[in-house]
Amino acid sequence: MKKIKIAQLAPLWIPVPPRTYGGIELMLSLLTEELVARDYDITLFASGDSKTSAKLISLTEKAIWLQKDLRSPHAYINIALEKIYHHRKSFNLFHNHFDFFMFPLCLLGTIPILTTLHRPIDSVAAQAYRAYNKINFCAISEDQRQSVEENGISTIGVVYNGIAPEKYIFKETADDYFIYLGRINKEKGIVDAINVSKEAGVKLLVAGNIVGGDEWNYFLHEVQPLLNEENINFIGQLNFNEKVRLLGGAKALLFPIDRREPFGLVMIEAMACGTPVIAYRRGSVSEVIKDKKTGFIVNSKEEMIEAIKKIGVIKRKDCRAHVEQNFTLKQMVDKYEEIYKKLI
Amino acid sequence: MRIAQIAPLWITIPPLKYGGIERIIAMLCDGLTNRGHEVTLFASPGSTAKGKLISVFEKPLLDVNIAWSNPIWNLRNLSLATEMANEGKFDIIHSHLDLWTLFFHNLTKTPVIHTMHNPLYRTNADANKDDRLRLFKEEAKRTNIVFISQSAKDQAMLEFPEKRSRIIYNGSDLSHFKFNLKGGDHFVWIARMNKHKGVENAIAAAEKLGVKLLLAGRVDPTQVEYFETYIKPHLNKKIKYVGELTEEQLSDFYGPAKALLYPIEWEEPFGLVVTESMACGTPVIAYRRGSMPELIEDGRTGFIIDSDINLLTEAMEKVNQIDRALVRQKVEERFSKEIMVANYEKAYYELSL
Repeated sequence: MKKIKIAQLAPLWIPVPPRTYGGIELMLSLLTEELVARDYDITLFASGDSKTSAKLISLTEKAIWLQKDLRSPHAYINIALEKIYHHRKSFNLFHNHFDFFMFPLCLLGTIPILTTLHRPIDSVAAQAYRAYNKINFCAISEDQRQSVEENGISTIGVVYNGIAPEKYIFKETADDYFIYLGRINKEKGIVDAINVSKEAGVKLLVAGNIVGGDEWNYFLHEVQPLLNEENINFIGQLNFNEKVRLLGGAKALLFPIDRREPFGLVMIEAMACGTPVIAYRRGSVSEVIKDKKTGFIVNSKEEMIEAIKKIGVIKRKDCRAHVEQNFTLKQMVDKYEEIYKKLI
Repeated sequence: MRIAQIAPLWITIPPLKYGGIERIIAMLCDGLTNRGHEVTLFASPGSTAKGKLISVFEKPLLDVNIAWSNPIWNLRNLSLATEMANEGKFDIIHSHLDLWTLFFHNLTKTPVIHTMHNPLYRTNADANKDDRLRLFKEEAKRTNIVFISQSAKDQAMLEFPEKRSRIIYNGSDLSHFKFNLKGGDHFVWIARMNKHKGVENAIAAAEKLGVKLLLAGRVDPTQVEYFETYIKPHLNKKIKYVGELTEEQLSDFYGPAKALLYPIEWEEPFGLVVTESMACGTPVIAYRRGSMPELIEDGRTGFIIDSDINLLTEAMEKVNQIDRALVRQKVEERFSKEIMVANYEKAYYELSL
């Protein structure tokens, strides 16, 4: 039988897989590798510094966020559309991970497009998404599906992100610190994570990256003044191995998310290492964490402090098992395969 | 013909205040409709230019603070126009959306023409813009492009095939610009407040001669510091800043002046203020940069000089020699909106036949 040919369209901001931060790019790398292993003919359209066992078609030599002199990404995105267009006849399906930028491809009318919605969508942007009624949208949590459907965008399904648990070293006992891992911005809740740790009198490792002028301003004015404390240790960006080591050593991941999080890959990465998650009840959180079993779902700073104090009651084995049962790469790819079959 | 005009969505067509591109689009819609064409304008609600208005979003994007750099609605706008073209609704698509247009001509058999309102070369103001040029390398051969001056075309860092590139000058609605035979004793300068527009040169020349100079134009938020530091200290009884003007106020600004000073420090691709001033009969003294030698006939409708304050003051002293009636006449012959519309119409016919 002829192989099914699928183009995976990556965001061009960071390479696939990411060297440090990048949930979408990590998920996409896993998906691509697994599809290749399952004998699909996969082409990854991504920045040229990406690595994959699929065919790579480079859309920009270097990922956009790594080009510090670049003022506007729009020329690259146009080049990307152009290159994908010229290869269009080789594919049975486009699987788009690059937001609305790739939507014009649906005007070709010949190749189905599946778009995984990796980011929250506000009601203004939703009007544009809705207008592209030939695109098939896939959500990454039930809550996200609900939020996009509230905005009039219909979805073809929900596929939770998954990881390969065997790549995450399970750590039976934690060291003496908590961890924050994510972008250093307001919506990811960095300031609450620091303040809660201070009030609870626990050590916090702050890991993550800072992108663009707004985040740098936020870092310099809101975050940095809070860092000059013995117990708060800012360590910047982590590569995969460092991430696994430091997530695994933590008593818990603090996830005081201040937006309707569509999935939150870092939560399942932490749990895969045996590390429970303490998170605000927003977006996907109550689907990803089993409250009181793999962490705590809380509603306020005060509740987060209480949860920190009683974190010892969580069994780290339960966290790992939860990921193995619900958020594996295999489960994710099984579901995408079903959707691909529906569309082709 | 059935013509789709694709406009930027941040403000209305025509604009309430500043907005050169938006004004040109409005003239095109009105002019083409008057010539019997069926115009569909893809623009923001509130646009009053003639033609059938189609809006992909409920408000001008600036009203809801959507950043200039966010292309989601540009893409939607082009997508809808392309979908409609593929349903056979248009004979030509004319886009004013700069680089986003380039991909879309692939998606339709309807011819697409694209006015390059922004310069396609490194400018003093924007030395890093060459990221755009890499795209044009790929695209140059297949894009129907309109430059707004020979200079803009010559300076472009890429070559476009002759048959696909055109030069069409911007036009002005001359009925909005009253001819003023007499002029006056003072000089004027108008543009967005910006070093590259030569405002400091104009001030230096006026100070040297001890003559009156009126400055007008918007101070963008990014230029407030420049204005406060370099311009404000020079303001006094003789050198005055009158703010940003509406279109209705322009005639009374240009007309009573002796000359417009335009000692620019970049390769300006067109310079609408030059032809507007000339429409009022007011000659222009400009540095030999960008399109200036195409717009101004040296010694007849103004003076073109090398970038030098002494040459500028010399020209200011002899500008009375210029026949203001001839200045107006030249604009009527070359830079009216009617001429611009006729040139675009010709291009549409060439492409759609």
